[in-house]
Amino acid sequence: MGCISAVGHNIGEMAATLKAGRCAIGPLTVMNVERLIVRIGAEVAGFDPLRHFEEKRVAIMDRFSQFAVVASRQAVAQSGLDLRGDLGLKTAVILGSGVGGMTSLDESFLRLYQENAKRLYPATIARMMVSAAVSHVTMEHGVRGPAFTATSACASATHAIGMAFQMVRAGMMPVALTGGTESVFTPGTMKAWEAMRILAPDTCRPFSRNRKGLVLGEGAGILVLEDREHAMARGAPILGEIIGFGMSADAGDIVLPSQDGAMRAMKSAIADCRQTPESFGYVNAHGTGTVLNDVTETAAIHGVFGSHARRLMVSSTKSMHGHALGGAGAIEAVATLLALRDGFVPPTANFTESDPQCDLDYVPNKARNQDVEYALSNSFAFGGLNAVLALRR
Amino acid sequence: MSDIVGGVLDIIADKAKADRSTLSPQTELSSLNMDSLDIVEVFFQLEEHFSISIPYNANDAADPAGAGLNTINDVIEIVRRQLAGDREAT
Repeated sequence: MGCISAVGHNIGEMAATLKAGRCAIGPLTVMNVERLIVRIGAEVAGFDPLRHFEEKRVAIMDRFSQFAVVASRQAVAQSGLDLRGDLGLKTAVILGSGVGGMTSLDESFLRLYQENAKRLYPATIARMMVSAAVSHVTMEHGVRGPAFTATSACASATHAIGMAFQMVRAGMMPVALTGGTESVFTPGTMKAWEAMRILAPDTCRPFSRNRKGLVLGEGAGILVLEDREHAMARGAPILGEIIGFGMSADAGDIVLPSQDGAMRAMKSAIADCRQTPESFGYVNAHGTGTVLNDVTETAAIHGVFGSHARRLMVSSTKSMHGHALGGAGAIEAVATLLALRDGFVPPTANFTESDPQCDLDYVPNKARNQDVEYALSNSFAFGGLNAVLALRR
Repeated sequence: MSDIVGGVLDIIADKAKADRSTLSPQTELSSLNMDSLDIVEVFFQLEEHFSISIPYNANDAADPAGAGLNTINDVIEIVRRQLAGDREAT
Protein backbone atom coordinates (compact mmCIF):
# COMPACT_ATOMS: atom_id res chain seq x y z
CA MET A 1 0.00 0.00 0.00
CA GLY A 2 0.96 3.61 -0.43
CA CYS A 3 -0.32 6.83 1.03
CA ILE A 4 0.39 10.52 1.01
CA SER A 5 -1.71 12.77 3.21
CA ALA A 6 -1.46 15.30 5.99
CA VAL A 7 -0.32 12.56 8.37
CA GLY A 8 2.66 11.58 6.27
CA HIS A 9 4.22 11.44 2.84
CA ASN A 10 4.52 7.67 3.09
CA ILE A 11 3.24 4.69 5.06
CA GLY A 12 6.02 4.78 7.64
CA GLU A 13 5.34 8.41 8.52
CA MET A 14 1.62 7.76 8.54
CA ALA A 15 1.85 4.83 10.93
CA ALA A 16 4.01 6.84 13.30
CA THR A 17 1.63 9.80 13.25
CA LEU A 18 -1.46 7.68 13.83
CA LYS A 19 0.22 5.82 16.68
CA ALA A 20 1.21 9.10 18.28
CA GLY A 21 -2.36 10.39 17.85
CA ARG A 22 -0.94 13.54 16.30
CA CYS A 23 -3.42 15.87 14.62
CA ALA A 24 -2.11 17.23 11.32
CA ILE A 25 -4.70 19.99 10.99
CA GLY A 26 -3.29 23.51 10.91
CA PRO A 27 -3.32 26.88 9.17
CA LEU A 28 -3.51 26.53 5.37
CA THR A 29 -0.26 27.37 3.61
CA VAL A 30 -0.79 25.82 0.17
CA MET A 31 -3.24 28.48 -0.92
CA ASN A 32 -4.05 32.15 -0.51
CA VAL A 33 -6.42 32.43 2.47
CA GLU A 34 -7.17 36.12 2.11
CA ARG A 35 -10.82 35.70 1.17
CA LEU A 36 -11.48 32.81 3.49
CA ILE A 37 -13.29 32.83 6.79
CA VAL A 38 -12.19 29.30 7.66
CA ARG A 39 -8.43 29.10 7.19
CA ILE A 40 -7.49 25.65 8.46
CA GLY A 41 -7.07 22.33 6.75
CA ALA A 42 -5.14 19.09 6.77
CA GLU A 43 -2.77 19.70 3.90
CA VAL A 44 0.07 17.64 2.52
CA ALA A 45 2.69 20.03 3.80
CA GLY A 46 5.97 20.57 2.05
CA PHE A 47 5.08 18.66 -1.10
CA ASP A 48 7.33 19.65 -3.98
CA PRO A 49 6.18 17.98 -7.20
CA LEU A 50 9.58 18.55 -8.80
CA ARG A 51 11.08 16.17 -6.27
CA HIS A 52 8.87 13.47 -7.73
CA PHE A 53 8.36 14.36 -11.38
CA GLU A 54 10.17 16.08 -14.23
CA GLU A 55 8.99 19.59 -15.01
CA LYS A 56 7.38 18.56 -18.28
CA ARG A 57 5.31 15.97 -16.50
CA VAL A 58 4.26 18.30 -13.69
CA ALA A 59 2.89 20.65 -16.33
CA ILE A 60 0.25 18.10 -17.33
CA MET A 61 -0.61 16.78 -13.86
CA ASP A 62 -2.96 18.39 -11.39
CA ARG A 63 -2.01 18.00 -7.72
CA PHE A 64 -4.61 15.24 -7.27
CA SER A 65 -2.92 13.20 -10.01
CA GLN A 66 0.50 13.86 -8.51
CA PHE A 67 -0.64 12.43 -5.17
CA ALA A 68 -2.13 9.36 -6.84
CA VAL A 69 1.07 8.56 -8.72
CA VAL A 70 3.29 9.10 -5.68
CA ALA A 71 1.13 6.78 -3.56
CA SER A 72 0.94 4.23 -6.37
CA ARG A 73 4.72 4.12 -6.62
CA GLN A 74 4.96 3.25 -2.93
CA ALA A 75 2.31 0.56 -3.21
CA VAL A 76 3.62 -1.08 -6.34
CA ALA A 77 7.20 -1.02 -5.08
CA GLN A 78 6.16 -2.67 -1.85
CA SER A 79 4.18 -5.32 -3.69
CA GLY A 80 7.20 -6.39 -5.69
CA LEU A 81 5.04 -6.82 -8.78
CA ASP A 82 6.23 -6.07 -12.29
CA LEU A 83 3.20 -4.71 -14.11
CA ARG A 84 4.82 -3.84 -17.38
CA GLY A 85 4.43 -7.22 -19.02
CA ASP A 86 1.60 -9.71 -19.32
CA LEU A 87 0.44 -9.19 -15.76
CA GLY A 88 -0.21 -5.53 -16.51
CA LEU A 89 -2.60 -6.52 -19.26
CA LYS A 90 -4.67 -8.24 -16.61
CA THR A 91 -4.35 -5.59 -13.92
CA ALA A 92 -7.17 -3.16 -13.21
CA VAL A 93 -6.80 0.40 -11.98
CA ILE A 94 -9.84 1.81 -10.26
CA LEU A 95 -9.51 4.98 -8.22
CA GLY A 96 -12.06 7.21 -6.56
CA SER A 97 -12.13 10.98 -6.71
CA GLY A 98 -14.90 13.42 -5.93
CA VAL A 99 -14.06 16.33 -8.18
CA GLY A 100 -10.72 15.62 -9.83
CA GLY A 101 -8.44 18.42 -10.97
CA MET A 102 -10.03 21.22 -9.00
CA THR A 103 -6.85 23.27 -8.69
CA SER A 104 -6.47 23.33 -12.46
CA LEU A 105 -10.15 24.18 -12.94
CA ASP A 106 -10.09 26.97 -10.37
CA GLU A 107 -6.96 28.54 -11.86
CA SER A 108 -8.48 28.24 -15.29
CA PHE A 109 -11.67 30.07 -14.26
CA LEU A 110 -9.59 32.75 -12.59
CA ARG A 111 -7.79 33.36 -15.89
CA LEU A 112 -10.99 33.36 -17.90
CA TYR A 113 -13.43 35.27 -15.70
CA GLN A 114 -11.25 37.51 -13.61
CA GLU A 115 -8.27 38.16 -15.86
CA ASN A 116 -10.34 38.01 -19.05
CA ALA A 117 -7.64 35.94 -20.66
CA LYS A 118 -8.12 35.36 -24.37
CA ARG A 119 -7.01 31.77 -24.09
CA LEU A 120 -6.57 28.98 -21.56
CA TYR A 121 -3.67 26.61 -21.15
CA PRO A 122 -3.83 23.73 -23.63
CA ALA A 123 -3.38 21.17 -20.85
CA THR A 124 -6.42 22.40 -18.91
CA ILE A 125 -8.84 19.64 -19.86
CA ALA A 126 -6.24 16.91 -19.49
CA ARG A 127 -5.39 18.16 -15.99
CA MET A 128 -8.89 18.71 -14.64
CA MET A 129 -10.72 15.62 -15.84
CA VAL A 130 -11.73 13.43 -12.90
CA SER A 131 -10.20 10.37 -14.56
CA ALA A 132 -6.78 11.98 -15.04
CA ALA A 133 -5.32 10.39 -11.91
CA VAL A 134 -6.18 6.90 -13.14
CA SER A 135 -4.68 7.64 -16.53
CA HIS A 136 -1.44 8.81 -14.97
CA VAL A 137 -1.24 5.76 -12.73
CA THR A 138 -1.68 3.43 -15.72
CA MET A 139 1.02 5.34 -17.57
CA GLU A 140 3.38 5.33 -14.58
CA HIS A 141 3.27 1.56 -14.18
CA GLY A 142 2.56 0.45 -17.73
CA VAL A 143 -0.74 -1.10 -16.66
CA ARG A 144 -3.02 -1.89 -19.58
CA GLY A 145 -6.03 -3.65 -18.07
CA PRO A 146 -9.47 -2.26 -17.19
CA ALA A 147 -9.15 1.25 -15.80
CA PHE A 148 -11.59 3.99 -14.75
CA THR A 149 -12.60 6.33 -11.94
CA ALA A 150 -15.46 5.83 -9.52
CA THR A 151 -17.11 8.86 -8.00
CA SER A 152 -19.51 9.24 -5.10
CA ALA A 153 -18.35 12.32 -3.22
CA CYS A 154 -16.96 11.35 0.19
CA ALA A 155 -17.37 7.63 -0.52
CA SER A 156 -15.57 7.59 -3.89
CA ALA A 157 -12.44 5.76 -2.77
CA THR A 158 -14.36 3.17 -0.76
CA HIS A 159 -16.57 2.47 -3.76
CA ALA A 160 -13.47 2.20 -5.97
CA ILE A 161 -11.76 -0.23 -3.59
CA GLY A 162 -14.98 -2.20 -3.24
CA MET A 163 -15.38 -2.52 -6.99
CA ALA A 164 -11.78 -3.60 -7.45
CA PHE A 165 -12.18 -6.11 -4.61
CA GLN A 166 -15.30 -7.58 -6.19
CA MET A 167 -13.61 -7.87 -9.57
CA VAL A 168 -10.56 -9.64 -8.16
CA ARG A 169 -12.71 -11.89 -5.97
CA ALA A 170 -14.81 -12.81 -9.00
CA GLY A 171 -11.68 -13.91 -10.81
CA MET A 172 -11.84 -11.22 -13.45
CA MET A 173 -8.23 -10.27 -12.82
CA PRO A 174 -5.51 -11.34 -10.41
CA VAL A 175 -4.35 -7.84 -9.47
CA ALA A 176 -5.88 -4.40 -9.09
CA LEU A 177 -4.47 -1.03 -8.13
CA THR A 178 -7.16 0.82 -6.26
CA GLY A 179 -7.78 3.65 -3.83
CA GLY A 180 -8.57 7.32 -4.20
CA THR A 181 -7.23 10.83 -4.40
CA GLU A 182 -8.37 14.38 -3.84
CA SER A 183 -6.87 17.85 -3.56
CA VAL A 184 -9.23 20.81 -3.41
CA PHE A 185 -7.48 23.59 -1.52
CA THR A 186 -8.59 26.37 -3.84
CA PRO A 187 -10.48 29.59 -3.05
CA GLY A 188 -13.48 28.45 -5.09
CA THR A 189 -13.77 25.15 -3.25
CA MET A 190 -13.17 26.61 0.19
CA LYS A 191 -15.77 29.36 -0.29
CA ALA A 192 -18.28 26.77 -1.49
CA TRP A 193 -17.66 24.64 1.59
CA GLU A 194 -17.90 27.68 3.86
CA ALA A 195 -21.33 28.37 2.41
CA MET A 196 -22.62 25.10 3.79
CA ARG A 197 -21.74 26.25 7.31
CA ILE A 198 -20.32 22.92 8.40
CA LEU A 199 -16.61 23.69 8.38
CA ALA A 200 -15.09 23.79 11.84
CA PRO A 201 -13.15 26.98 12.54
CA ASP A 202 -11.01 25.36 15.23
CA THR A 203 -10.28 21.71 14.52
CA CYS A 204 -11.98 18.40 13.85
CA ARG A 205 -13.42 16.78 16.99
CA PRO A 206 -15.47 13.80 15.90
CA PHE A 207 -17.94 12.57 18.51
CA SER A 208 -16.96 15.27 21.00
CA ARG A 209 -19.68 17.37 22.59
CA ASN A 210 -18.47 20.75 21.31
CA ARG A 211 -17.58 19.66 17.77
CA LYS A 212 -18.10 22.29 15.15
CA GLY A 213 -17.93 20.41 11.90
CA LEU A 214 -15.46 19.06 9.44
CA VAL A 215 -11.99 20.08 8.36
CA LEU A 216 -10.97 19.43 4.77
CA GLY A 217 -7.93 17.35 3.96
CA GLU A 218 -6.14 16.14 0.83
CA GLY A 219 -4.06 13.23 -0.33
CA ALA A 220 -4.13 9.80 -1.93
CA GLY A 221 -4.15 6.22 -0.77
CA ILE A 222 -3.44 3.26 -3.03
CA LEU A 223 -3.77 -0.46 -2.35
CA VAL A 224 -2.46 -3.27 -4.49
CA LEU A 225 -5.15 -5.94 -4.33
CA GLU A 226 -4.13 -9.40 -5.33
CA ASP A 227 -5.94 -12.71 -5.56
CA ARG A 228 -4.84 -14.71 -2.55
CA GLU A 229 -3.61 -17.78 -4.45
CA HIS A 230 -1.69 -15.56 -6.83
CA ALA A 231 -0.09 -13.71 -3.92
CA MET A 232 0.81 -16.79 -1.95
CA ALA A 233 2.22 -18.58 -4.97
CA ARG A 234 4.82 -15.85 -5.39
CA GLY A 235 5.49 -15.38 -1.69
CA ALA A 236 4.10 -11.86 -1.72
CA PRO A 237 4.30 -9.68 1.39
CA ILE A 238 0.67 -9.82 2.46
CA LEU A 239 -0.28 -6.78 4.51
CA GLY A 240 -3.92 -7.58 5.18
CA GLU A 241 -7.10 -8.70 3.51
CA ILE A 242 -10.25 -7.14 2.20
CA ILE A 243 -12.99 -9.63 2.91
CA GLY A 244 -16.25 -7.85 2.27
CA PHE A 245 -17.94 -4.83 0.78
CA GLY A 246 -21.37 -3.31 1.32
CA MET A 247 -23.15 -0.45 -0.38
CA SER A 248 -26.45 1.36 -0.08
CA ALA A 249 -28.23 4.54 -1.04
CA ASP A 250 -30.29 6.59 1.40
CA ALA A 251 -32.77 7.95 -1.17
CA GLY A 252 -33.15 10.68 1.39
CA ASP A 253 -31.54 14.08 1.40
CA ILE A 254 -28.83 15.61 -0.76
CA VAL A 255 -26.71 16.45 2.28
CA LEU A 256 -28.23 14.96 5.44
CA PRO A 257 -27.19 11.47 6.57
CA SER A 258 -29.52 8.54 7.19
CA GLN A 259 -29.25 5.98 9.95
CA ASP A 260 -31.08 3.41 7.86
CA GLY A 261 -28.81 3.84 4.85
CA ALA A 262 -25.68 3.59 6.99
CA MET A 263 -26.96 0.49 8.76
CA ARG A 264 -27.80 -1.27 5.50
CA ALA A 265 -24.33 -0.63 4.11
CA MET A 266 -22.60 -1.94 7.24
CA LYS A 267 -24.86 -4.99 7.48
CA SER A 268 -24.25 -5.66 3.83
CA ALA A 269 -20.47 -5.59 4.28
CA ILE A 270 -20.68 -7.92 7.29
CA ALA A 271 -22.94 -10.33 5.43
CA ASP A 272 -20.68 -10.21 2.39
CA CYS A 273 -17.72 -11.50 4.40
CA ARG A 274 -19.87 -14.14 6.10
CA GLN A 275 -18.96 -13.01 9.57
CA THR A 276 -21.16 -11.96 12.45
CA PRO A 277 -21.17 -8.47 13.95
CA GLU A 278 -19.57 -9.92 17.10
CA SER A 279 -16.40 -10.82 15.17
CA PHE A 280 -15.55 -7.18 14.67
CA GLY A 281 -13.29 -5.29 17.03
CA TYR A 282 -12.81 -1.94 15.33
CA VAL A 283 -14.75 0.45 13.13
CA ASN A 284 -12.92 3.23 11.31
CA ALA A 285 -15.84 5.62 11.29
CA HIS A 286 -16.83 8.09 8.62
CA GLY A 287 -16.72 10.40 11.63
CA THR A 288 -16.58 13.80 9.92
CA GLY A 289 -17.08 15.77 13.12
CA THR A 290 -20.42 17.28 12.17
CA VAL A 291 -23.17 17.07 14.75
CA LEU A 292 -25.40 15.15 12.37
CA ASN A 293 -22.99 12.58 10.99
CA ASP A 294 -21.55 11.57 14.33
CA VAL A 295 -24.96 11.13 15.97
CA THR A 296 -26.42 9.29 13.01
CA GLU A 297 -23.40 7.05 12.60
CA THR A 298 -23.39 6.21 16.32
CA ALA A 299 -27.05 5.23 16.14
CA ALA A 300 -26.36 3.16 13.02
CA ILE A 301 -23.52 1.32 14.74
CA HIS A 302 -25.82 0.54 17.67
CA GLY A 303 -28.39 -0.70 15.21
CA VAL A 304 -25.95 -3.02 13.47
CA PHE A 305 -24.00 -4.35 16.42
CA GLY A 306 -26.60 -4.35 19.19
CA SER A 307 -25.09 -5.10 22.57
CA HIS A 308 -21.70 -5.75 20.93
CA ALA A 309 -21.48 -2.04 20.09
CA ARG A 310 -20.32 -1.39 23.67
CA ARG A 311 -17.32 -3.65 23.14
CA LEU A 312 -16.36 -2.10 19.80
CA MET A 313 -13.67 0.47 19.35
CA VAL A 314 -14.80 3.20 16.98
CA SER A 315 -12.47 5.99 15.94
CA SER A 316 -12.36 8.69 13.32
CA THR A 317 -8.93 9.19 11.82
CA LYS A 318 -10.35 12.27 10.08
CA SER A 319 -9.52 13.89 13.40
CA MET A 320 -5.89 13.65 12.29
CA HIS A 321 -5.83 13.66 8.47
CA GLY A 322 -8.95 15.72 7.89
CA HIS A 323 -11.70 14.86 5.43
CA ALA A 324 -9.98 14.07 2.16
CA LEU A 325 -13.29 13.70 0.31
CA GLY A 326 -12.74 11.40 -2.68
CA GLY A 327 -9.45 10.25 -1.17
CA ALA A 328 -10.84 9.71 2.33
CA GLY A 329 -11.95 6.12 1.89
CA ALA A 330 -8.49 5.12 0.68
CA ILE A 331 -6.54 6.93 3.38
CA GLU A 332 -8.87 5.39 5.94
CA ALA A 333 -8.58 1.91 4.44
CA VAL A 334 -4.80 2.25 4.74
CA ALA A 335 -5.17 3.47 8.34
CA THR A 336 -7.36 0.47 9.14
CA LEU A 337 -4.95 -1.98 7.52
CA LEU A 338 -2.06 -0.45 9.46
CA ALA A 339 -4.05 -0.86 12.66
CA LEU A 340 -4.75 -4.51 11.93
CA ARG A 341 -1.19 -5.23 10.88
CA ASP A 342 0.58 -3.42 13.71
CA GLY A 343 -1.81 -4.24 16.54
CA PHE A 344 -2.91 -0.72 17.43
CA VAL A 345 -6.15 1.22 17.17
CA PRO A 346 -5.72 4.83 16.00
CA PRO A 347 -7.41 7.34 18.27
CA THR A 348 -10.06 9.97 17.72
CA ALA A 349 -7.90 13.01 18.28
CA ASN A 350 -8.97 16.37 19.74
CA PHE A 351 -11.56 14.68 21.94
CA THR A 352 -12.54 16.96 24.79
CA GLU A 353 -15.98 16.30 26.19
CA SER A 354 -18.40 13.42 25.82
CA ASP A 355 -21.61 13.99 23.87
CA PRO A 356 -24.54 12.19 25.51
CA GLN A 357 -25.79 11.24 22.05
CA CYS A 358 -22.45 9.65 21.15
CA ASP A 359 -21.87 6.94 23.70
CA LEU A 360 -19.45 4.47 22.16
CA ASP A 361 -15.77 3.85 22.86
CA TYR A 362 -14.16 6.34 20.47
CA VAL A 363 -10.58 5.67 21.63
CA PRO A 364 -10.13 9.29 22.65
CA ASN A 365 -6.80 10.98 22.02
CA LYS A 366 -4.44 8.06 22.67
CA ALA A 367 -3.90 5.13 20.35
CA ARG A 368 -4.51 1.78 21.98
CA ASN A 369 -2.24 -1.23 21.70
CA GLN A 370 -4.71 -3.94 20.85
CA ASP A 371 -4.82 -6.79 18.39
CA VAL A 372 -7.93 -6.68 16.27
CA GLU A 373 -8.79 -9.27 13.69
CA TYR A 374 -11.81 -7.83 11.86
CA ALA A 375 -12.56 -4.21 11.15
CA LEU A 376 -14.99 -2.10 9.16
CA SER A 377 -14.22 1.13 7.36
CA ASN A 378 -17.22 3.39 6.79
CA SER A 379 -17.86 6.05 4.17
CA PHE A 380 -21.22 7.83 4.15
CA ALA A 381 -21.33 10.48 1.45
CA PHE A 382 -23.40 13.56 0.70
CA GLY A 383 -26.36 12.55 -1.37
CA GLY A 384 -26.78 9.38 0.68
CA LEU A 385 -24.25 7.15 -1.06
CA ASN A 386 -22.79 4.69 1.42
CA ALA A 387 -19.91 2.25 1.11
CA VAL A 388 -18.37 0.04 3.77
CA LEU A 389 -15.32 -2.23 3.59
CA ALA A 390 -14.75 -5.23 5.83
CA LEU A 391 -11.07 -5.96 6.45
CA ARG A 392 -9.10 -8.65 8.20
CA ARG A 393 -5.60 -8.82 9.61
CA MET B 1 -35.67 49.76 12.21
CA SER B 2 -38.49 48.19 10.26
CA ASP B 3 -36.16 47.74 7.28
CA ILE B 4 -34.38 44.98 9.15
CA VAL B 5 -37.56 43.29 10.34
CA GLY B 6 -39.14 43.63 6.91
CA GLY B 7 -36.08 42.29 5.14
CA VAL B 8 -35.80 39.27 7.43
CA LEU B 9 -39.51 38.46 7.17
CA ASP B 10 -39.39 38.77 3.37
CA ILE B 11 -36.48 36.39 3.08
CA ILE B 12 -37.89 33.82 5.49
CA ALA B 13 -41.35 33.99 3.90
CA ASP B 14 -39.78 33.32 0.54
CA LYS B 15 -37.61 30.40 1.70
CA ALA B 16 -40.33 28.79 3.82
CA LYS B 17 -42.92 29.36 1.09
CA ALA B 18 -45.08 30.86 3.82
CA ASP B 19 -47.66 33.60 3.60
CA ARG B 20 -45.77 36.76 4.59
CA SER B 21 -48.76 38.11 6.48
CA THR B 22 -48.78 35.10 8.81
CA LEU B 23 -45.19 35.69 9.95
CA SER B 24 -44.05 37.81 12.83
CA PRO B 25 -40.90 38.12 14.94
CA GLN B 26 -42.52 35.76 17.42
CA THR B 27 -42.94 32.99 14.88
CA GLU B 28 -41.04 29.83 15.87
CA LEU B 29 -38.63 28.69 13.17
CA SER B 30 -39.49 25.07 13.85
CA SER B 31 -43.11 25.76 12.83
CA LEU B 32 -42.00 26.74 9.34
CA ASN B 33 -41.44 24.39 6.46
CA MET B 34 -37.64 24.71 6.37
CA ASP B 35 -34.94 22.06 6.67
CA SER B 36 -31.33 22.64 7.67
CA LEU B 37 -30.22 23.47 4.13
CA ASP B 38 -33.07 26.04 3.90
CA ILE B 39 -31.80 27.69 7.10
CA VAL B 40 -28.32 27.91 5.59
CA GLU B 41 -29.82 29.47 2.46
CA VAL B 42 -31.69 32.02 4.59
CA PHE B 43 -28.36 33.09 6.05
CA PHE B 44 -26.94 33.36 2.53
CA GLN B 45 -29.82 35.62 1.49
CA LEU B 46 -29.49 37.71 4.64
CA GLU B 47 -25.77 38.23 4.01
CA GLU B 48 -26.38 39.20 0.38
CA HIS B 49 -29.30 41.49 1.18
CA PHE B 50 -27.79 43.31 4.16
CA SER B 51 -24.13 43.11 3.02
CA ILE B 52 -23.06 41.52 6.25
CA SER B 53 -21.19 38.40 7.28
CA ILE B 54 -22.92 36.15 9.80
CA PRO B 55 -20.75 33.66 11.68
CA TYR B 56 -23.36 30.92 11.70
CA ASN B 57 -22.19 27.32 12.06
CA ALA B 58 -24.83 24.67 11.41
CA ASN B 59 -23.28 22.50 14.09
CA ASP B 60 -23.87 25.14 16.78
CA ALA B 61 -27.53 25.41 15.83
CA ALA B 62 -28.04 21.74 16.53
CA ASP B 63 -27.04 22.31 20.15
CA PRO B 64 -29.86 24.27 21.80
CA ALA B 65 -27.38 25.78 24.22
CA GLY B 66 -25.39 27.02 21.24
CA ALA B 67 -26.81 29.43 18.70
CA GLY B 68 -30.21 29.87 20.36
CA LEU B 69 -32.08 30.07 17.09
CA ASN B 70 -35.71 29.57 18.03
CA THR B 71 -37.80 32.40 16.68
CA ILE B 72 -37.63 34.81 13.76
CA ASN B 73 -36.73 37.47 16.31
CA ASP B 74 -33.53 35.53 17.08
CA VAL B 75 -32.63 35.90 13.40
CA ILE B 76 -33.52 39.62 13.45
CA GLU B 77 -31.21 40.10 16.43
CA ILE B 78 -28.34 38.37 14.65
CA VAL B 79 -28.76 40.72 11.67
CA ARG B 80 -29.00 43.76 13.96
CA ARG B 81 -25.80 42.73 15.75
CA GLN B 82 -23.88 42.24 12.53
CA LEU B 83 -25.07 45.58 11.11
CA ALA B 84 -24.05 47.34 14.30
CA GLY B 85 -20.72 45.57 14.74
CA ASP B 86 -20.47 45.85 11.04
CA ARG B 87 -18.22 45.43 8.04
CA GLU B 88 -18.61 42.57 5.68
CA ALA B 89 -15.67 40.16 5.61
CA THR B 90 -14.08 40.41 2.18
